Amino acid sequence: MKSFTKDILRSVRKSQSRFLAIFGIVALGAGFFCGLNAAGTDMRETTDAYCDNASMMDVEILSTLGFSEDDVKAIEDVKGVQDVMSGYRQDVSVTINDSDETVARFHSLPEDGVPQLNTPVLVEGRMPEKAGECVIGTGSTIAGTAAQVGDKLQLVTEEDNGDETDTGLQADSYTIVGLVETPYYLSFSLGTSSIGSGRVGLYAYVLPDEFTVGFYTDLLLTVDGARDMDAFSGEYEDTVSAVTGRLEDLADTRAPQRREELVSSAQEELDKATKEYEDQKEEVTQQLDEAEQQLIDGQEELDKQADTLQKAQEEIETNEKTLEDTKKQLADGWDQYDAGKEALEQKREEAEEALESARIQLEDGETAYEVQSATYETAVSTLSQQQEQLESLEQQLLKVIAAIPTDSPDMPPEVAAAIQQVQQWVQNAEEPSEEDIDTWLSVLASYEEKLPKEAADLITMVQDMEKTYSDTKAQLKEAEGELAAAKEQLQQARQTYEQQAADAEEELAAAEETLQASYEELRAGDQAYQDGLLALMQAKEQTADGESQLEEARATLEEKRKEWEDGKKTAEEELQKGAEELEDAQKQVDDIGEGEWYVLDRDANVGFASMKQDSQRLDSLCTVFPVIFFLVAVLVVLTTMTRYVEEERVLIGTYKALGYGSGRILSKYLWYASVPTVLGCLIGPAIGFFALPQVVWNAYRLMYTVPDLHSPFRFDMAFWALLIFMVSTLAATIFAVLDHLREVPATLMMPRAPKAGKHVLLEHIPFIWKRLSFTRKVTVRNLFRYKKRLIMTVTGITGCTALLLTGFGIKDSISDIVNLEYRELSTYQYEATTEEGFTSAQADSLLAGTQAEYLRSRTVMVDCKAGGDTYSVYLMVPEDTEKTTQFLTFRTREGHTPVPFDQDGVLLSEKLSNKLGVQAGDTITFTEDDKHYDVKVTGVVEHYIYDYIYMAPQVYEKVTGHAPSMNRLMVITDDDHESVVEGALKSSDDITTFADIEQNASDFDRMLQSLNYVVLVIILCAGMLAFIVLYNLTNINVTERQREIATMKVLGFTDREVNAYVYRETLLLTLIGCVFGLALGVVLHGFVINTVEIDSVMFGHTVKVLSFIISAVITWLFSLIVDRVIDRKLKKINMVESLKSVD
Amino acid sequence: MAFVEFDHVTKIYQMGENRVAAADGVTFTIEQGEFVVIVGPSGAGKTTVLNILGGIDTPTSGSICLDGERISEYNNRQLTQYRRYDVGFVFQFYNLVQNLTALENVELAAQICRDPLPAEQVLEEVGLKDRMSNFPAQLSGGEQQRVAIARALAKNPKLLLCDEPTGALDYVTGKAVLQLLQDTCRKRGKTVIVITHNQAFTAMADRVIHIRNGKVADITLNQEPVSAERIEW
Repeated sequence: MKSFTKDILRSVRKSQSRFLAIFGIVALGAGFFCGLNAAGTDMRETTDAYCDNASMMDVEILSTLGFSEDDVKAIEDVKGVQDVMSGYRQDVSVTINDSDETVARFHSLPEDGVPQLNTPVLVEGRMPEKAGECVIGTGSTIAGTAAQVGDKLQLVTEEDNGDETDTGLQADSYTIVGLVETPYYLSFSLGTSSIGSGRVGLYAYVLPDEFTVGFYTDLLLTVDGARDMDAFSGEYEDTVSAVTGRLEDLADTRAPQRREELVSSAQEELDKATKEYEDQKEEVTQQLDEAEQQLIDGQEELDKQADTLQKAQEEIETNEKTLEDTKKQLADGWDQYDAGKEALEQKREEAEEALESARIQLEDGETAYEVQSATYETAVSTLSQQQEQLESLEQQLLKVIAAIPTDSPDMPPEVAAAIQQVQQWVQNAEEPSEEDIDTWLSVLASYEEKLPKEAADLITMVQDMEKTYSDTKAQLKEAEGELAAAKEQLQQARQTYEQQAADAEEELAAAEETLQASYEELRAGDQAYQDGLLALMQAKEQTADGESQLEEARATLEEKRKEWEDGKKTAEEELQKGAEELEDAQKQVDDIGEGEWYVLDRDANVGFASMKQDSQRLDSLCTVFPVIFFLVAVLVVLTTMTRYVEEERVLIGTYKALGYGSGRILSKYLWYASVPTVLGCLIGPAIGFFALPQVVWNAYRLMYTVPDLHSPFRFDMAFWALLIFMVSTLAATIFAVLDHLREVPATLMMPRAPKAGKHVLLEHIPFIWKRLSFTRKVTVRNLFRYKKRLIMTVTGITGCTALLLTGFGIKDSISDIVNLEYRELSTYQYEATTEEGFTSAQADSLLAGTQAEYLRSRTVMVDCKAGGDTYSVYLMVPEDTEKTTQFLTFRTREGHTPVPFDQDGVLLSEKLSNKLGVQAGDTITFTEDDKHYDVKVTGVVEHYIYDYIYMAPQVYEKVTGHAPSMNRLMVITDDDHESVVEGALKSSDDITTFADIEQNASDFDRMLQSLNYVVLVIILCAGMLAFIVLYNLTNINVTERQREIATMKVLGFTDREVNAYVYRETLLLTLIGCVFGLALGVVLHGFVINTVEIDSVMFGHTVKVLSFIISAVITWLFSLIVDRVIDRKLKKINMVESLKSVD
Repeated sequence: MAFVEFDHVTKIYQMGENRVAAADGVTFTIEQGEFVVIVGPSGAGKTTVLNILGGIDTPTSGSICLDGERISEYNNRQLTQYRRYDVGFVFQFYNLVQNLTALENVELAAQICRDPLPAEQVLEEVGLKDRMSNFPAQLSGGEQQRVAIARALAKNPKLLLCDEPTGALDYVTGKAVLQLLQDTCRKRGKTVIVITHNQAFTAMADRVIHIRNGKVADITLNQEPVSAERIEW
């Protein structure tokens, strides 16, 4: 090995990091360039191969009137048509397990022995073998749930004028026996349908016999030679369009013939139906009459029963009245009885009172009498005492007298007689009588003065005594009389009292007896009344029973009558409907259109077309990013090589001095540059070709049903990458080396004068300069000293930050759409597809009690154009313009100025206005039901998903001549009523399908996820780019200034200070690069967004503040990581070695 | 105790299979305020000794003391502090920061010291009053070396170490630089150590250390050193 070669090899070994840096940046640049560029091509090639393997049709022909065998034959004869497969297709609403309805598109499986096109590839289960079985696409979902083998597709037959519409299929339900894939349905978006929600939710294949329609509805055909072509190429397009042109010509002649056939057969059928209708009508009428007669009979019977019941009722009323009277009489009797009883009681009291007072009087009398009688007794005893006294006195007197001598001369004879008498008596001890005494005395009294004194006194005493005694005796006699009278009186009084008491007793007893008698009488009356009442109740109950029976009978009859009436009405209505239907049918037959063939190439296939667009979009995305990578890579290589050559200046001089030719010397550096470039261009693409398309493909597989990606190493692309890198790195090397080779060896071998320091412009602004700290000044000077490095670093950082910002910005734009569209511009929660002609009354009743606001509209797909291309867009005609603003926000995207929705013209969504190239004031043409209408555009509004024309109902009516028939319903509700509203929408017969806007939003989010992956790749690569650029340039910086750094160290600068001294520059450059990068990023983002926008979706055009921050932060983060790496390098700088001598 | 003590200092470089002793048991002392010349042929190990003394290299064995501090046991951080505060370096190729003016180069060193001398004053003293705002590239070699000396002096170090300070200078300029160093020593009382292969310089030194093959061959004390102006080579 020659020494020169050895030198090259050792150079490589000595400067591994530089060598690796060149390799790395080239590998990254080339890998990214190749990988992203190949992604689109890989996608297309894989798709093309998939389509070819499954014999995907090149052209599909649909017809409004179907195809006959003759049509098929005619098509087969068209030049360029290779194979024709005739079959059927039919859109039907289906459910699984009572889910929401979804539109399913049924296709017929190819029959044996005919060309097999669009062959479904079985993924799971088996193919249908008998009626009632089907296979569906993998990943099919119904109302959010994945359909599985074994599930049953329930066909929904819609009620139309009372009749169930014909589904066009034999069975009512189909069991899923397998899952298939077919290139005919590449995308998860399966296309539009004229029924249900208007979107095909899943596709199914059944045996051809399952279709009831009597003619082919779907013709698939291949074009000669097309299979071998790339289906995405212009060549293919030309080949196919030649055939479609011929087919369209054929359509012009075949379609009218087809109509003739159809009209005649339809008329025949219609006539048959008319006759059937007449027969049925007669039968129905007869049945109705019979039923009416039965009703009349029933009514009569019922009336009779009612009469009887009426009579019974009257009788009860009479009885009731009588009973009422009795009750009253009884009450009176009882009153009287009570009064009598009371009177008796009173009388008894009075009598007792009287008796009592009489008895008291009597007792008083008796007491008085007893007193009188006691007095009398006393008087009697007094009298007896007086008598005794008298007698004793008389005795004494007698004795005394007896003692008086009778011889006294003077004594009268009479006295002497009396005295003798007395003597006698005393002698005889006889008891003279009173009269004797008295006589005696009176005699003696006359003699008194002549009598002894004693005798005289006695005589007076006896005489007094006598007198007292006789008085007392007289008094006693009187008292005795009085007492007897009192006794008599008392006797009498007692008798009277007793009489009185007996009388009263008798009287009371009599009264009581009378009262008792009346009481008994009343009791008897009561009993009788109770009995009567009971009887009445029973009678009443009986009538009540009778009445309810009657009522029942009446109700039954009424029901029957109603039934009859309903029946009659229904029958009449049905008959009416039948008649109308017949009329309609007649009209339909008359109206059978000219018949139109739709000759569709693959571009009309939703999946194929969107795959084509996506791959092309990826292509455009991939033109932007690799260029930046590429530029930065070239810059880095250039700097590195320049630096390297400069380092070897003395060596170059030595070689030159030794006599090596310029070319020879140059070759060393060319070799040095070539090896990592070639290696990078091999290894980078090797990874890039595989990894990037796979990542992108896997992202797209979220939206497509496609096989694994075939991603080969594309030598042509790798070659181009290599060529570009080789040319640029070698050119850079040659440029750098030639610069030195021009000098003579002597000067070369002298150390190159260190680059002189210079005053920078900033120093002339003392205001700022003086404020800078010393080391900062150095930093500023250094920056301007190494201008090349400054430009390189700033460019690198700018590119990296711009890429990051673009990456994040795309993410923002994508995620913004959903937010803006569904959460800002649309303020409603539910959108429902309704029956045609949905009225506000229906809406009111549907949402009654939910407190929800609603807006009806007519929203249909229409064709729209303004001179150039025609676009399929949504036309939305709300019921009321005023109310619409509650549901939709009409504003400009920039500035958010509200756009008035008035009655002069229409509003266009922004994207549509761009596509059509129209502005406010221009006129557009839209086509609904094959009629063209011109309208003026009055405004353009911010809108992101799908294209819309908003039209006031007045405008619609003015333009089309009829009021819009409403078929959509938007609902605003609050959280509390969401479930109620949902329930109402779900259960309503008027609502075909409805969507939760939030659900829509998340669906869309998921769809846009795929782009996020691509963005992620970009962000990662940008990060790697930033790292490599920063590391490489800082590395050069450090190597270049090793001596200076060593000096600093010798001066006693700490590691930290040295690091700050060196790295401050990088940080400042990072800052500048960051600012430029963010600015460039905004531009780049705008460009990329414009290129990658999906046709029906407008992406957001703003980048969020957060993305700016994140992009800057990531750049800084890389800068700091590089700082750490460099720091270690700085620490390793050996002062002794570095300062030893000048290289 | 002497100001500087080198005691059996060795420095061995591993050069592949070979071990090369750049310093092989160097022992000497230096007193404070002396002007010392270390002299020897190329490759004798002079620079190694100076680097070790200046704290930019470490010995394999042996001990070095400066002003009682055992430098040989310093760790990296302490060495940095040592270089920062105690040592001033003057190199053969000046090693000025190209991007700084003369004044700024001096300030660069002065800025990080505890007790620096005013940069302008030092530059004036070395005779560069009028060239302060010039960049190194605009100065002659002698001027650049004087800036380097000013940079070392401004730090007000204990020790001024000069590695072939005149090696890249012509005779006249070289003498002026030597005079400046000698004046620094005499007037400021700084200990100055100059490395040279030029025997002529020994006359101006207080102490001359002869090094040969990594060993101290001889140490001579000059009782009457001559002024730099008077030496000839």
